[in-house]
Formats: sequence, structure tokens, C-alpha cells
Amino acid sequence: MSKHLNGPLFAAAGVIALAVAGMSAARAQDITIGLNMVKSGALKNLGEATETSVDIAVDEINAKGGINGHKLKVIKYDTGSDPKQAATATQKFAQDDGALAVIGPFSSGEAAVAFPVGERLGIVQIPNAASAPNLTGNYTYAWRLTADEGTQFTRLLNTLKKKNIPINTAEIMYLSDERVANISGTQFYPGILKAAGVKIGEPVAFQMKSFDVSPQVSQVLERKPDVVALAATPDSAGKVIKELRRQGFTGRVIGSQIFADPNALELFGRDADGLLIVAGFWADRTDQTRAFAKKYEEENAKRGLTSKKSPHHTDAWAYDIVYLLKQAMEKAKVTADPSKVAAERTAIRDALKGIRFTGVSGDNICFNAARDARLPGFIIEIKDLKWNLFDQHPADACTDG
Amino acid sequence: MTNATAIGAPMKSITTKALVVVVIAAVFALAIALGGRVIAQQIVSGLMLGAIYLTVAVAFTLTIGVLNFLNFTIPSLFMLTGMIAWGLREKGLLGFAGGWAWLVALIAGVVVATAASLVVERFTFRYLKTRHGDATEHAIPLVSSLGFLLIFEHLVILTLGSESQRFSVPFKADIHLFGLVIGAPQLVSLGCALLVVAALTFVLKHTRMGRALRTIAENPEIASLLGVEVTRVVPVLFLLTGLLCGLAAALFTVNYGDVSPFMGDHVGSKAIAAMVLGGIGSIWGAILGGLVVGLTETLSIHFFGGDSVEMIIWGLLLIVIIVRPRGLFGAVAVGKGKL
Repeated sequence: MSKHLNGPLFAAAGVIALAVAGMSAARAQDITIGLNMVKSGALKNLGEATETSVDIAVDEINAKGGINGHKLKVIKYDTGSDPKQAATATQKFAQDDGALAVIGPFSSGEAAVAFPVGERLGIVQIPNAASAPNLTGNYTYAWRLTADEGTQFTRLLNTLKKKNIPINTAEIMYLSDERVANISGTQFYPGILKAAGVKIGEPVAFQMKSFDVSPQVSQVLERKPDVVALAATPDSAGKVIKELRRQGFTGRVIGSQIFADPNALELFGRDADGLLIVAGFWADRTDQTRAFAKKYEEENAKRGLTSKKSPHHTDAWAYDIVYLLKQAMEKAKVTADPSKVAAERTAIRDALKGIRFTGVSGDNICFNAARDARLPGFIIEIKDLKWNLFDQHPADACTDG
Repeated sequence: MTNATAIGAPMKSITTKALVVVVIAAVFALAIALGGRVIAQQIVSGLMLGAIYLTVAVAFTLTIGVLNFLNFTIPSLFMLTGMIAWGLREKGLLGFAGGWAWLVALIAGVVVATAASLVVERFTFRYLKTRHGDATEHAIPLVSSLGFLLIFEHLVILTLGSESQRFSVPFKADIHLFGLVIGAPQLVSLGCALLVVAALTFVLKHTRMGRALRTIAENPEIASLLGVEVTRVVPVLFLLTGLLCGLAAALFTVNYGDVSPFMGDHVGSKAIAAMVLGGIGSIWGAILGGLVVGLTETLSIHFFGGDSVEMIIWGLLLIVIIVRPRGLFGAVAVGKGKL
């Protein structure tokens, strides 16, 4: 290299070094969290608007000065609904991105694989849709802002009783290849219905790929049930509801929160009239919930997610998780200092213990000893293609948290 | 015609085959007698489901019968019809058609599936035949068709999304007969499927093109010597394949009101089972196989639950293959590389 080129070259290298150092310094001042989300694959429809909710919350927080004076930055990873990818995402957030906590993974299947990874790496993960029982186990960094399917279904039965809706016999139909639906259909629903004195037959399974559910429906209707308890994702639930009506069933279809999606009304159509489900979020509850719902619809419209007009409870929970982390980070006084990442991750976990949180999902939310949130339940009746609040149940008290 | 595939050939050993049909019918009659209304309803549902499977199975059997080639693009042709139809309506491109938008959308879907089938022919068979003088002695067409399957599926996922979508039609008509619910669209589907297959059989047996296809199935070299223009006849086969898949998918979409980028996979695998069960290369075998698979599916769900279906259908298939390797209506053996 000729000598006269050395000067400009060193100058350029210096500028680049300064720029890189500057960027690093800027990054160091941000608080980084990971978003382990589902934007493709089997759960896309349910999970694709999680990102919108998180972005709304992050923008609101940053507009008000961030957390402890630091801007909040989100690193995102689409798992494609694949549990292995969810574990990879957690590892990436913890080891490569310097994240202090993780929102997600989305589903129970993903959480079951990612929780052990988070525990090993010492980073808090809070899913917004993983509601299968006993997922958090002994993983001290695993917390959940999701409502338990069993609790929600029990609340629904209590409402039926309170409103004098006859339910002497019931039949259960469930999606066998979806973790939460399977557990609900084979464990929660039978146990809870039997305990309530309702006569039930053997639960009838169908699969995600089943486009024709008429054999299952014929089988169920042969037993002439008062109600059909359904555990399925919205797509699959829509097929079953349609076929039930086609084969002449006029009774009520009931279900827990798996298919309680306000955006699935069109999918269900008029066949869903009289359907009773439990949701974890009611958009018309407070000024805060209404404001969130409005922003959610506007933001989704901008992003081309035109079918996402009203927040699903998992979207509301995602929004709340960002604020919950903010509260925990403020309590833990995180500094975003790269040298203290490990200590601050643990401090966030410790700050979550005994926390009380008010958000769009409910007021004064707490966590039980298994680090699962206690959340309210909203019984929704679908009538004339609209969601109507039929009844509501407050969150259970935390006596063990 | 001595060749195993015997596309469009009259059924031989009529007595044996009639016996097979009678035995199957007797089994189902016995099931209805023992199980009553609910079993009868399951059989009705199974026949309707079988109508979809048999149409796709005929598409499979045609290609394998003439070209000795398992065309893996068939599920994606099926899917293209449904998703293109949904996409055109969803993007509001059919406003001019008013209340008939659903029908125009489905016709457009069938046209796209047929065009896609011709693209597959162009870049698998014709290309290999031109470049190497042979197209079936090696596995390349099989792999190419698998490639097309994945490309078509993922093109649709990229442009129209990966989730299931509703495709509504402006009518809903169920016939209630002796306590059974029979969907009018499903009944029309079964009729259409059988009609199309009967027409296809007629074409294969009584027209010049049909004779050309059968001659190629018998022996492509002799077909060429006899003046059959193989390169002109093979695209017709792919055209028929596209049309059959498109028709089956259109009937499926009207019946179930549901489309997805993966809708062809499930139907395709059942159609392959139906084809093998009925006898590879036999159109009537594909028809019987489709109906048997549909009925087996609904009755398996009834007696053993929804999770048992795959095991029972493929188990039944394995048993048939072991006991009668040529399937219920198939000829002695499947031919070798032909083109």
C-alpha cells in the first residue's frame, strides 16, 4: 500500500470506529427485551397481532420517557409456531442480544420447550397465550400472564347455573392435535362437568386438518346433549359449529377461551348465535381498555391486518406484559449496564414476586406460587354477529403468591 | 390390451369385481342394520367425502397409468383452485360478477390449476423428453413434481397467507330424508364426480384422443410407430389432470366452505391411498377406492375416534397390498418407463 494512502485510510477507520463506538454506546443505554412471537405457521392467525400490542405499549412507554430513563427496545423473533425455534429465540435473546427479559413464547407447546432454556440462562420469560396446566413447574424464571382454561370453564358453568340455563347432559368435542384444546377436552371439561353433576359421554376428537367433521358431529348428536362443550382453535371451532347447526343441533355450544376470538365472528357466522365462551379481556371495561382497543384497531389497519379489529385476550395480555416488565424493572432499578445483565435479569425475576399490577386485562393482578397470574373472566354470548357481555367473574385472590 | 395399466379398458373378470362390490355393499348394509340412523348418516357422509377423493384419485391414476409417473403436483393443483378462488374474491377483483362472484372465482381457480398443470408438463416431461429422449426411466420427473408442489404451496403462502379461509356460497340447502341430513351441494358433487369420470371413461374408450392415450399407456414406442404424436397427446393428459383436480377442489370448496394452502395435502394423500386400493391405473378402481376410503374414514371416526383414521386407512391399504398387490381392480403389474 502506498504511503500517501495511509492518512485517509486511518482517518476513515477512525471515523468508522467512532461511529461503531457511538452506536454501541447508544445501544448500551437502551433496555432490550425479546419478543418471542408467532407470525407464521399453524398459530399465525391467533398470534400475528401480538406484535402490534407490544409495539403499542413500547411506543407509549418510550413516549413517556422509557424505563428508569432508558428507552425500551424490542428484538423480535418469529418462531413459525415451531417449539424448537422458540427455544432458539430465547437462547438468542439471552446470549446474543443482551435482552433483560422475554415476552413469550406464544403457545404452551413453545413454552414447554423454551422455559428450561430460559431457566438455564437465567432470563425471565412471560408468555401471553400458554395456558396449559403446570407449565411453569420449577422454572423460577418462567411466569405467565395467561388465564387457566380450567378456571375459566368452571366460571362459565357457574354462569350457566346462575342464569338457570339447563345443562343436564353435555357432549365434548375437542381438537386433539393442539395442546391446550386436547388437555381441555380430555381433562378439564370432563372433570369440571362431572363435578357439576352433568352427564357426559366419551369426548370426541377431531384434528386441525379435518375439513369434514360430520362423522364426529353425527356421533355427538346421537346422544342428544343439552349443550356441546367445544375445545378448539377458532378455525376448527368454526367448522364444528357450522356442522352442528347443519345437522340440526339447536342447543348451546359452550367453550373456554381457546376460541374466544372477537375477530372470529365472521368465521362462525350466524351459526354461532347463542354461543357462550369465556374471554380474558373485555374491551368496553374501562377508559384504558377502550383506548387500547382503539389504538389496536388503528395500528392493525396500518399494518394491513384488517381482520384484527378487536383485541383477542392474548393481545391484551401481551400489551400488559410490557407494562408488567416496566413495573418490575423500575422496582429492580435496572440500569441497562451490559456488565450487570445477568444480575439485572435475576433482579427482574425477584421484583415480580409479590407484585400487584393493574392493566387492560384487570385490576390489581397478582401471581400465585406457581407464578401464574390470577386474571378475571368475561362470559361472552354471541348474538346477531356481535359479542355481548353475558356475565363476568373477578380474578381469584392471591393467597399463596 | 394386455398392459397392466389398462387405462379406460373394460373391466375384466366382471364376476370377481361384481363380487367385490357386492361384499363391500353387504358390509355397509349390515353396519346400517346394526347401527341404525347414525351409521346410515356416517355412510352418507363417507360417500360424499369419497366423491372428492375419487375425483383426485382418478387424476393420479390417469398420470400413473399412462406415464408411469406419480404426479406429486396434484395436491397443489387442488389447492391452487381453492386459494386462487378465495384470493380473487378477497381482493375484490370480482365485483363485476355480483352474486355470481363465487362461481366466477371457482372457474378462475380451475383455469389456473389447469394452466399450472400444463406448466408442470412443460418443465418436467417435455423438457426431459427433448433433452434426454426419455422422461420416465429415472426419478427426475418425480422430484421435479415434488419441487413444483412445494413451489406452488409456498407461492400461495407468500401471497395469500398460510391460514385457513372461509369461502362462502350464497346458498345452503340440506335435504332431510328418513332422519338423514344430506347436503344438496354434496349430492351434486357426488353426481358431478361420477358424471365426469363416466365421461372420461367414454372419451378414453371411444375417441381418437382416448385411443392415443391408451396406446401410449400400452407402449409409447409402438404408439409412435403407429403415428401417435406423443408430445401432443401428453399435454392433454396434464390438461385432464388439472381439470379433474380443479373440479374436485371446486366441489370441496362449495361443500366445506374452507380453503387453505395445505388443503391439497390431506386430500392428496387419501386419493393416493384410494388409487392404490382400487388398483393403480384403473379408473373404476380409483372410483371404488375413493368411496371405500371416504367410508372407512367416517366409520373409523365413529367406532374408533378421530385420531384413528390414518392408521386404519393406511393399515387397510397395507393389508390389501399384501393380499392383492394389484389392488381391488388393478391389472397384473404396473408398466415400466414409457416415454
